[in-house]
Amino acid sequence: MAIAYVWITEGSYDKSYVATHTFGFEKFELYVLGKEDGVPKTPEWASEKTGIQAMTIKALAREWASKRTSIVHGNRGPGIRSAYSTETGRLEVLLLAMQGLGKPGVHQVKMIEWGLSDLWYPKLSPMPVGVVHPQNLRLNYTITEIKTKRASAFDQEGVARSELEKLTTPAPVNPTQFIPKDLIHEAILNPPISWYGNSTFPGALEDQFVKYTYPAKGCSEVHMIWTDSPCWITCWNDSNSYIKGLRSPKIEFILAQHPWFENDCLLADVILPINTKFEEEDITADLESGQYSILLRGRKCIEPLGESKSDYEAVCMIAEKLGLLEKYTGGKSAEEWMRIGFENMGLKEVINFEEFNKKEYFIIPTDPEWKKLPPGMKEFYDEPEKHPLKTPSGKIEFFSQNLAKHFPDDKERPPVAHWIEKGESHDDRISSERAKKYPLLLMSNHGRWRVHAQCDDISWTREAPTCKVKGPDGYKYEPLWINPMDAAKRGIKNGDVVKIYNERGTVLGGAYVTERIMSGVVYMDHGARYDPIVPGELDRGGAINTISPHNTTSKNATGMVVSSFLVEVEWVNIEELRKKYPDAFRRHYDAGAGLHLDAWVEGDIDR
Amino acid sequence: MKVFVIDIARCNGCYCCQIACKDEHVTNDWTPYAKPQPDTGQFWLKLNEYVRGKFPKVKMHYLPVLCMHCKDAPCILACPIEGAIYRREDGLIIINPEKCNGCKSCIDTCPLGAIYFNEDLNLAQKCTGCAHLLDRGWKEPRCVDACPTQALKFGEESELKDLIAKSEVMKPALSARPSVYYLNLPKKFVAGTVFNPVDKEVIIGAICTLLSNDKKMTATTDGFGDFWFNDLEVGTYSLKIEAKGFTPKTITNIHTEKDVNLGHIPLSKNDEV
Repeated sequence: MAIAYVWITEGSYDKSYVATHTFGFEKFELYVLGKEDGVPKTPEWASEKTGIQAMTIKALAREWASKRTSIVHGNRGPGIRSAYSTETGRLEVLLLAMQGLGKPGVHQVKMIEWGLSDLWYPKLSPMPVGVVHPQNLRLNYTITEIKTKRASAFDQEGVARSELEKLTTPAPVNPTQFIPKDLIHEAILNPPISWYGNSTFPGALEDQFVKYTYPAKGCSEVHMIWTDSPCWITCWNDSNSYIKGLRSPKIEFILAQHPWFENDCLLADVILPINTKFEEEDITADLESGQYSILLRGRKCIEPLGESKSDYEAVCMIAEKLGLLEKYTGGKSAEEWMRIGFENMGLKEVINFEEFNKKEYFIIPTDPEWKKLPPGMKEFYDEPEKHPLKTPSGKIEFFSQNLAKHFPDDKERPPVAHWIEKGESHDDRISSERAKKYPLLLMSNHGRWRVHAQCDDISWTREAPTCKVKGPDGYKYEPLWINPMDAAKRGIKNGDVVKIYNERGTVLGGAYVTERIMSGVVYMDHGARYDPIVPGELDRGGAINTISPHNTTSKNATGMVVSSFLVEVEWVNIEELRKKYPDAFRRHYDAGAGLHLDAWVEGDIDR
Repeated sequence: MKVFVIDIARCNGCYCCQIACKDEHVTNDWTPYAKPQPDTGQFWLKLNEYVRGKFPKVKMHYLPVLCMHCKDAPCILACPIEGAIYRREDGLIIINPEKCNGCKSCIDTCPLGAIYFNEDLNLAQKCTGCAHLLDRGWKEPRCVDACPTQALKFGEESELKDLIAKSEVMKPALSARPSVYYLNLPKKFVAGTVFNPVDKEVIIGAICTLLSNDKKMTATTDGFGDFWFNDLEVGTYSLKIEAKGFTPKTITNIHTEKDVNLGHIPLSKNDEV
């Protein structure tokens, strides 16, 4: 906002572009200048909120305006997983628009997956444009998902159409009832609930305005959970509430399928041991990850260990007991499904299944015509009327007509992007009353040393100082980044065990005292393996999501909020905790790999 | 003679070298070159992290440290058993696991702590330069092979002589004449931000002159009012800041034992003096 303020007051933005390529700028200008709410969004105003000096914000605004500036994102980080992140996300596009988005050198570049504007829009990605755009085939696509995909990549010129719809078994239907993952705790604990959008990211635009409810009309509440990705505790918002939900008497039975005994498996009634990729035949697709798209024929390296099965085999065995096997498999073997999957990824023009099986890998070649493709949003920049965007005006909307139409009274996501200090969904700014008790803002991101909850038990990565901090008790704690000033104020030294807490619970961590983080902010990766001392309240493993905010992005936006929330950090006397909770501290712990099966099994394990 | 040349400016801290070393040596028995490395606790190649400066003027670098395969190796001299630690014809130093008796004499002599002790096997262990692979036709050890930025290089000393001419060695090992050479080892920096406290604006284009006894360097403040002096020797410096329309300012007694962030430095306007 303050950058826009500098540009508007100094006249250092592209006025002719704004006139021809955007809609509703004057309403944005009124808000930025303070004519809407009496608060000019000056650099001084922003300085109080960000801890960055006003002169630095001014310098950034001028530096940005004086040079062709693009914004590059890895995967957009914690910024899109915090309270009211819709506003910062929109604002970034608006700032780019003020400097002529689409002009050579003025872009938003996202290094992986989908980018700005059009979902899966191949031209906006920095990756080489392939001759084909393979799609992962999944059974049971919903109508909405298919529509989403068709609305984007499938309708692009030159992109092979898939036979997806024909193949889907059963025929694609939207489920009669579903719950967005970031509302599962709410759905179990406080039904009925309602929300907007099917929560698929990236979802179709129009779906954002569809209201869904749970329980859906004519449906019962959930009684049983069957999960093949048991990592809600480590990956979702206020997961201490998920734990309460999963332990609620309403949930009569939980079945988990997983290769590791970890996280949500701890709350399951029955756990089916599942293969790792090394134990089965498969196809691995590395698509849209910022490099050449690659397909690999993942061969079985070892026979499945113990009684382990593939996810598919495990479900087949249950289906057989229920007399549903034929219906589930469609009479086809796993090998046949693999072939069908491959043959319907949109690769027909470049390789067949036999060749792929022999070659065992395939790199999607770059489109020989790639030089003719317009770079980024150049077409829109050159001729906005001829190449309109999918907004109602066909232009970049400073005033969103869709939001004005569907949510005219939404104070948390108004038609013009706003700074939301607090609202009915969130109160997590440093200006909050809560900040008196919880004065630090915690930032959390995808872990450098894990993929979400996966790979937290690799003894070799756990030796890196930003992967784990070895406490005085030999336990490897999840690093809590803290500035030396904040640490000194709290009597915390590098390597100490600390607790990070707010009203939602407490997580233990190992202090990583560093100048790499500013004072007032602390940081912890998400995804550390859950090690409950008191389930739903106190965790030793460092699963920081257990204490992240409960509500979604905002009232009508169904995104997760797992970063930028208020906490306090304190030094912990680990020996006192050990005395208080002897059972939790007695769990078997491998000095290298950490928690594993032995920690949870009573008696001897039959190997 | 085989040598390593490690370019710190190219190292992005991916840890592939440290992990690749473990992949090659943990649970693999390469006797007579080496017995297996334990799963954790030993780093035949260790990546060390260094954070320098104070927020927000912070830099960091990673420093891969392995056996220096010294030409005058103190470990060989300290070893009481003939041939237990020896230097190969290609220059690599090997601890023969079949001769080592676990006396630990070598461990304290290593100036960089690159020799580890394996309690279970009662054995001193360290980097072998993956000699077992070189003898089977490999051109380089696993750590070098795994380096995605070619920060780690391995080869004949004569072929790498141009790089070696620009390099340094680890100071503690200097007298032992190491075979591991480092490029772009970071030195100290002095940085700060120049601003006008009345207008509350950064000052762009201020000329900063850093003086030591024998040297004079200049830098100009950028769009954020920032100046940076990199690659400084440890010493005492004075800094003069001049900007058009402002009274020049001199800061003395800047010590660079540690990297220095001078923070926000106010300049007053000429007419206010």
